[in-house]
Amino acid sequence: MKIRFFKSKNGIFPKEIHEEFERVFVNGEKLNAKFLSDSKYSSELSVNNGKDLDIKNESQFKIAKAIAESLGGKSKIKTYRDKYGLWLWLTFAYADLIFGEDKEGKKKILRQDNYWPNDVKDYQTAARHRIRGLCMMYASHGDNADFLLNRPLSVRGELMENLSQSPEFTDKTIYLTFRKLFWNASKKSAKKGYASKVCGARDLVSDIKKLMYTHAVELMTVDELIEILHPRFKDKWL
Amino acid sequence: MKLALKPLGRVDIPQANIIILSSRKELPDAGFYPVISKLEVKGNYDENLEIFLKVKKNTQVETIKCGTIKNQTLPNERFLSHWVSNEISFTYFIQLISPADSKVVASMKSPQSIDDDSKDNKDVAPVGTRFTDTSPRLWRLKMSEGEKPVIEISKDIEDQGFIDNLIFLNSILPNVVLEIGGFLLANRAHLDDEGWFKDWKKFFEAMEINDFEEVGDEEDEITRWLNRLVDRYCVRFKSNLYNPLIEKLNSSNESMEDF
Repeated sequence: MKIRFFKSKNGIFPKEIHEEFERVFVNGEKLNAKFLSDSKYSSELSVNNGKDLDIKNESQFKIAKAIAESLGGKSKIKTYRDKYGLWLWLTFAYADLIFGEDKEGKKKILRQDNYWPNDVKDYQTAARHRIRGLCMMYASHGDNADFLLNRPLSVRGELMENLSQSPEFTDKTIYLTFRKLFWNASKKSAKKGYASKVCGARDLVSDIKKLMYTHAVELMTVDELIEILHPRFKDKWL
Repeated sequence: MKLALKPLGRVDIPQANIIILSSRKELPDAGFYPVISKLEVKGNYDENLEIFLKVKKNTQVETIKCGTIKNQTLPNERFLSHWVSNEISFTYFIQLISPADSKVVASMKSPQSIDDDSKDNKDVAPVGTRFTDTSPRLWRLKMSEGEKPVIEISKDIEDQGFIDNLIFLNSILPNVVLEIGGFLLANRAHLDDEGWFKDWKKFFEAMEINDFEEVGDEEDEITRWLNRLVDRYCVRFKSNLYNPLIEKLNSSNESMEDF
């Protein structure tokens, strides 16, 4: 289907959309599919060269790529950052794939900002949105986003959590340093232990943040940055 | 006396040493994006240091190298073209970097905000400046219906850079706004005429002053309105005028010591 967006008046969505959101993303009920195509609530997005969007269960990377193609290409994604009706419609569209399960097999429902596209000015929660967040990562890093997005939509992951917590960390050098240390490119999988307390992703975030006081790490190459990191990272991962 | 510890040996770049302006470009059917139209770092720094600019809007950060102190360059016009929105303001932060090891040698104390509504960001400023004979006054404001307001400054001042002096600007600009506001109020029938009246009306509206028609003719009502206008102006430009001056004045009292 063609990609669509929910209509709003002065930024306010109809109460039916709010009610359906609560039913699906708070109470865990199944989406009423009519909301995706009913022209009372949504309109087709006018996109030059936009492909049809095929909603299917695939990795976050492939989903981000499919959404990018439906928006006219990777370079266009960021221009839609504050088009809340679009991200809300996409969340509805992927509702069947977005939830994980707890140990008892019940639907695991997370904080509302995982599903509701919060104001982009809210730096604490905006990046948490499950669809917009992965699309922005893909927009910033293209094929190199594979190591973050190689998982089902229902799994957020430690790496994504750490790399999206601070806007500075979308920088290419920092991002590729994470990739070089934690990603096994030949096996296309994350190295075992990347979420460990010592030498893991959170430890690396902390070390790089300290270095940003003294160095313009964004101007360095990945190898230069690795050289000034605490040697424990190099010893452990390279 | 304040004692600032500088364990990293990093130097602060005074706000007065930085000139940065932005304007807006339209992306059809989508909105506007900011374009950095001027960037200049002044001061006595090693000419080989690289200028590193970080800009931030909401949760988005972009960085770019803008040449060296000796050869300063502007970011490409499309640098921020993906920041499409109707809200153009953003914050910027500048560091001076050693090219040999990417170490931060100097940096701003904190990020500062910029938006394209400020008069300095327009191609044609709504007020002009001119060095002329104003003695015994240091400056005066010349206004007429036909020509936009001009701040005339004493030609006896040899340093032409004086018009960027923060003490001077902080002292005169609120008075300039006061006088222009009074002039516009007295000529409010012509506010929508093409020319500088309309430009200033828009400028005041950007500060959410748009009740020209509602102000009565009583002197105390006019005075109250003008005071509100000047206060609003000072608040709006506090980060460009008041804060950097206070910071500059206070920093001259600091005794710095490296560890």
